[in-house]
Amino acid sequence: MIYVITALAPETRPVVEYLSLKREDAHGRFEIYRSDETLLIRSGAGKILSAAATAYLCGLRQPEPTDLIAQIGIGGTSDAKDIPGQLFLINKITDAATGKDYYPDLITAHSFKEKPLITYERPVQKHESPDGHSLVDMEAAGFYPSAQIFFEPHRISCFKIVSDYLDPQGVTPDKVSRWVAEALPAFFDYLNRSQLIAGEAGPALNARETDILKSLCRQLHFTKTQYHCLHAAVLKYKQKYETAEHLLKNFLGLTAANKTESKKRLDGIIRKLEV
Amino acid sequence: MASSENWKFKPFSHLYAETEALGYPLAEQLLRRLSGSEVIRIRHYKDVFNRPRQNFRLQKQSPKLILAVQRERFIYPASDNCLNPDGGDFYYVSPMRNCLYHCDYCFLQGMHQTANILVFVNTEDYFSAVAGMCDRQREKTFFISLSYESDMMAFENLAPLCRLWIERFGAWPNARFEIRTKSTNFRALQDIKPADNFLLTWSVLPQPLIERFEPNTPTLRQRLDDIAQAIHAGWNVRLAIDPLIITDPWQMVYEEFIRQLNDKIFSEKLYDIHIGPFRMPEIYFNRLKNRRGNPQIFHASYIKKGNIITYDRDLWLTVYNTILSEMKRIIPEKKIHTFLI
Repeated sequence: MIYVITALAPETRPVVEYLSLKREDAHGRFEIYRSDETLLIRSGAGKILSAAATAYLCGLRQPEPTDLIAQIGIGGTSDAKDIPGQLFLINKITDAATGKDYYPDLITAHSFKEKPLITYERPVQKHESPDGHSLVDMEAAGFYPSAQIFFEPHRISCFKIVSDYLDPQGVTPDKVSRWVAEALPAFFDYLNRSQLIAGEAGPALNARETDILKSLCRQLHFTKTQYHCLHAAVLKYKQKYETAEHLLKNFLGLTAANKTESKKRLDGIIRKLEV
Repeated sequence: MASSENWKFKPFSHLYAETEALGYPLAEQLLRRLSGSEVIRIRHYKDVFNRPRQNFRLQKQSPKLILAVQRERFIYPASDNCLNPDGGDFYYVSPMRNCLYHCDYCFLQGMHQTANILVFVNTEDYFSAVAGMCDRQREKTFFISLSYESDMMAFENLAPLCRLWIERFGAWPNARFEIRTKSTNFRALQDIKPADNFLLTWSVLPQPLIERFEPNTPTLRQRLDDIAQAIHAGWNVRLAIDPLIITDPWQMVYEEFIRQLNDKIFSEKLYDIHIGPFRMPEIYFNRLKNRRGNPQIFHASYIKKGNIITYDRDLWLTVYNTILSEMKRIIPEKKIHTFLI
């Protein structure tokens, strides 16, 4: 499951449309949308609301070891080199009010640009920005400490899209929605890869399970991606049962003549592991 | 940056640097050598190094580098679990913390919250602290381990810490230093005049055990080649079979191992050999077990002695006496030192 936090309606709408999420009723102050793989909450603007919404969302469903949490939204910049609509992965979040810094653990390789971010409790003007290199927003320093109650640092991400040069006059809801919509394929591709990597951090496979897994991958001609999917499914299985060895052995007689059959076999094995 | 085909960042894709650390020559050197890395400024290294709930296993596959200034303590007394046959006051310093390798039994996994590598760049402050301690007590002899919490020689191409320490203390009258490694990076020190008060120590194990418990480290043969070069160049070289790992069929494995040592090492030129059983504080042992997913090395027959997890004494003595009798054939007994449990 991927937990997504947005602040404003124009940031939320493109995510809902992109993943065909369904709105859930009865969540009072917060808007919550859901599919089988994603939970989305719209927090509203500001650090406190972002912290509250993050905690509320995590309280709805206990996160599992391969789940991730990410925030995506707009932010200002005083760096003339940044371009409105440009997507950044945040590598450091500073709370302007407390001076406290937070560092997401960056394990998954990516091609985004990275930047630090400072969270203020109110909109800031250009002359107020203490560090010309950082982006500024109003939520991340609420989101991060709340998220880290439920997630380890390698499972927390924060993305910001440059909206303005600390002068939001020309920023319209349509523009924001367009920028977010454009960012979503790369955003979810990163999160999907991070999810598979998070799977590797759980309980390890023993030598025999690894051997069987490798044999299966050879005989069923799995790709690297398919191997990671199967690996993640076996790890998940091992959280419930002590060993996956006996179950995996049952699949050793399977064969696959082509890519379609490989895919079918993989889906079948994963289904059995998920039972 | 790594290409999009790679799912995890390559080592040192990111460099966390304390703002105060940036002016030091060692920091500048590392920044030059890792010029493609993303630099993230930090206030204090502990904000990154000690973050709660970091995933050691994933970080090992994509370690980051942290550059910091040591402000607190430079010298520590060595643990009672370390062997010190030469006598003298035994201390260690940690100009680096954490290691490039990922050995199953390494206590650093239980000691630190992170697998990221920390380098303290204020080397001159370390030098002053050590020189001051030795100068104040000239009647004493000090034995100082430099790579207790890292493998400095393996890292020498990026941060030439071994070179800096040897150049600074190479002729120091009342201090002896040890640099311990599993690397085959002696070539990085080859042009330095051997210093009598520096011991270069190579950790070695039989090849089958290296393959099982020391992934991605140089093979025994490669290490022995490096050791032979260091001895040939005139350095004092120690072999450390520490921890000695007991796993079946240990007798056959260690007999072959000692035969290989004999083939490759001119034993009369070896400074000495250290042999010690696997031993680890219980708190590290339990943490490590959780972090490594309970690897095979934890399934041996261990006992708890005080707060230390180690081998059963009878088992250890059986194995040790067998190995010792073989070892005595290739090296004088007075050069073999053992940690007793």
